[in-house]
Amino acid sequence: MIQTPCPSCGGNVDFKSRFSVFQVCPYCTSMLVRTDMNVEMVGKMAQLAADMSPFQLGTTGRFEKRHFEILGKQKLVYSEGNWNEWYLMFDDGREGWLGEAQGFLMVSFPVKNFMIPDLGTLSAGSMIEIHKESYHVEDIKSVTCEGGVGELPVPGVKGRRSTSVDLVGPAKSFANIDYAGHGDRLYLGRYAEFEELQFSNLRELDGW
Amino acid sequence: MDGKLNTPVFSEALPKVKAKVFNCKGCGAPVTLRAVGLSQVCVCAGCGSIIDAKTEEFEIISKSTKKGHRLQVIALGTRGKIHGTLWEVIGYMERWDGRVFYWSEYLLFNPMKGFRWLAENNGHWSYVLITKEKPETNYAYGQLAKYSGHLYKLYHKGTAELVYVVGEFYWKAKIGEQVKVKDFIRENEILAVEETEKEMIWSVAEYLEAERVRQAFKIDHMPLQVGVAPNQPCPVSPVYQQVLKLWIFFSIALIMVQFFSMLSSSSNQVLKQDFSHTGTASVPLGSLPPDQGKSTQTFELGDEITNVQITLYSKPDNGWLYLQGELVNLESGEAYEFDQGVEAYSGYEDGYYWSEGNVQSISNLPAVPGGNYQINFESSSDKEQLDFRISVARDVPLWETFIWLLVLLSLFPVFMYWRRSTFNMKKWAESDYSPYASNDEDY
Repeated sequence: MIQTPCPSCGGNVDFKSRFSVFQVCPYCTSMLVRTDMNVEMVGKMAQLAADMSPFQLGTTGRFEKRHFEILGKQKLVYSEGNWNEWYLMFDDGREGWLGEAQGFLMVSFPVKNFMIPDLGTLSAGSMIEIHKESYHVEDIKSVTCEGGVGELPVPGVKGRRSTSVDLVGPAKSFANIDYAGHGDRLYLGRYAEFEELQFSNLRELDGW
Repeated sequence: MDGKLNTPVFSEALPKVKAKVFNCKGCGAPVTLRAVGLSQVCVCAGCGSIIDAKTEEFEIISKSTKKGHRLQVIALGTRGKIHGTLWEVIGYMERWDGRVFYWSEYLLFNPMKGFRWLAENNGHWSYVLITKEKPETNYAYGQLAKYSGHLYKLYHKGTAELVYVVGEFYWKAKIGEQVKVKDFIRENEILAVEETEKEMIWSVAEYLEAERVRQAFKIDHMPLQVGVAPNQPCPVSPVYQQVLKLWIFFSIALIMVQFFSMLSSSSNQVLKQDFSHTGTASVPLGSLPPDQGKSTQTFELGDEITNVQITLYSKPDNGWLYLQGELVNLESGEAYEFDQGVEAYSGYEDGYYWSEGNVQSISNLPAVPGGNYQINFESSSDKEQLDFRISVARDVPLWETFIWLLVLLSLFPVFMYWRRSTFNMKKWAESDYSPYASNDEDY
C-alpha cells in the first residue's frame, strides 16, 4: 500500500492495490493519477448519480474461497443501458472486477499473455479459443465511462471511451475484451450468485 | 499542509438511496422510480408515457397504450416473498402471440438479487429467471434443448409482441416490439428463448401454485385458472412414481416366491391307478345309479402340508365321465371333497372330421396335511363301460394364483398410468409438437 498526500487538499490518500493508477480523493473529490514518481491531479469528479446498488467502497466478500475488498467503482454506459464495474483487490494481491449489470453479478480477472485478436476480425457469433475453451462473441458495443470513485487500475474519468466485446463461454463463464486504444485487455470470469459471494459491509438501502 | 482531514466527505456510503418520485411531463401525475440506476424506462400510470429513467430530465420517449387487455392483479410497489426472497413488483406488461393469446408478466426487483419475472397465463403462474448459461439446442433437429444436464422437449414456437406496459423496466421497452419465442418443457419448468436481432435471451420458468402467489402478494381477485399449463406438474405423477416402485417391489417379491415354490416343489406322484366304470347308460345324471363305493389304494402324502392335485384321465367315445369323490385322511378321518369330469365328442360331417372336449381334468386341493390317504369316489357316465385313470400328485407348483395376484397387483398402477397419460395429453394439447398427436393431423 502506498499512502500519499492529495496534491489538492493534503488529505491522506491510500493506493491499496499496486495496480491502481487512478484515485478519486475521498476528501475533495479531486481525480488523481499516479505515475511512477508522483501523484497528479487531473480535475474534479462530479458526483455519480445514485443507484440501487447494494455495494460500496469497503464492501468485502469471497469468491472461490478467496477474500476480496471493493476498492473502486466505475460506471459505464452504452446506448441501451449502463452497468457498474467494481474494482476488487484480493488478499493475495490479485486484482479482479465485480460487474453489476441488470441484476446480474459477474466476477472476472484480467488475463495477460494472450494474443488479443484485432477488433476488425470479430463480429457477433464469431468464435475464439481462450485457454482451450470456445467463446462466442455475443455483442460489440461502444462504451463511455460516466465516472468513478475510489481507486482504479484504469483512468475512471468521465468520457473515456472504449469498445467492449462480450463473449459467452461454457456453462456460466464469459470473457470480455476491452479495446481502449492505448491498451487492449482481456478479462475472463463467470456469473456468480449474490449469496455465494458472502458479502459484508454492504450499503444500507432505504426500505430494504 | 498538516491539516489532515479525518472524515472523507465524498463517499459512496453517504448518500442513502431510495425510490425516487417525480412528476410526469406528459400529465403531471406522480411517477415512482424504484430500481434507481437500473431501470432504463418507467411508464406513467396516468397517461401511459414511456419516460427515459436514465437522466433526471425524465424525458418522454414514447407512449404505451392506456389500458391493458387483461387484469393486472398485483399493484406496482407490492412486495411478496417467493422461495424465501422478498420481491417488489416494479413493472407490469402484457404480450400476445399475434393471434389469440394474451398473457401478463410482472417484473420483480430486489436490489441484492436483481430481477425475476412472475408470469400469469390462463390463471397459471410461473416464476421466471433469466439465465446466462446458454443451453445446447443442436439435438434432435431442434426438438430438444439441454440445460443444466437435463433435456427439455420443444413445446411451442411463435412470437411475442409487447402490447401494454406500466411501471419500470431494465431495457427500453417499446410497444410493438417483437421477439421470436421457443418454449421447451420438462416437468415443472419451461425453458424459453426470446430472440431479437441482437440477442438470444434464455429463461427458466418454474410453475408456481396459484395459491402460493395469492398468499405471497395478498391478491384479492385471482384470475380464473383454465386448462393445464405446459409446466404444470402432473398431480398424479408423484403418486404414480411411488405406486410404480411398490409395484416393482411386490412383483419381484411375488416372482421370487413363485420361483422358490417351483424350485422347492417336489411334485411327487403318489398314486396312479386304473379303474373301470360300469353302469347304466342313457340315464340323466343324478338319477342314474352311480358306480358306487369305490376306493383307491392307500397312499402317503409325506409330512408337510402341501397342495394335492388329482387328475382324472379317460377317453370316452362320444360321451362323458363324471367323478365325485373325497380325499380322506385315514388317521384323522378328515375329508376333502372334489368333483370333476371329462368328455370327448368327435364325428365326421360335411367332409370334415371334428372333435371336442377334454380327456383330462384336474382338481386342486390346497393345504392338505401329510399322512395316509385314500380316495373314495363314485363315478357316473353315459357309457355302460368306461376305463379311466386317477392319479394323485402332491406339492405341485401352481401358476394360476401367481397370475391372478399379478393382475390384481397391476390394476392400480395401470389406472394411475392412465390418469397420468390423460393429464399429459391435456398438457400437450396446445402444442404443435405433441408426442400424443398423430402425424396426419391438420395444422
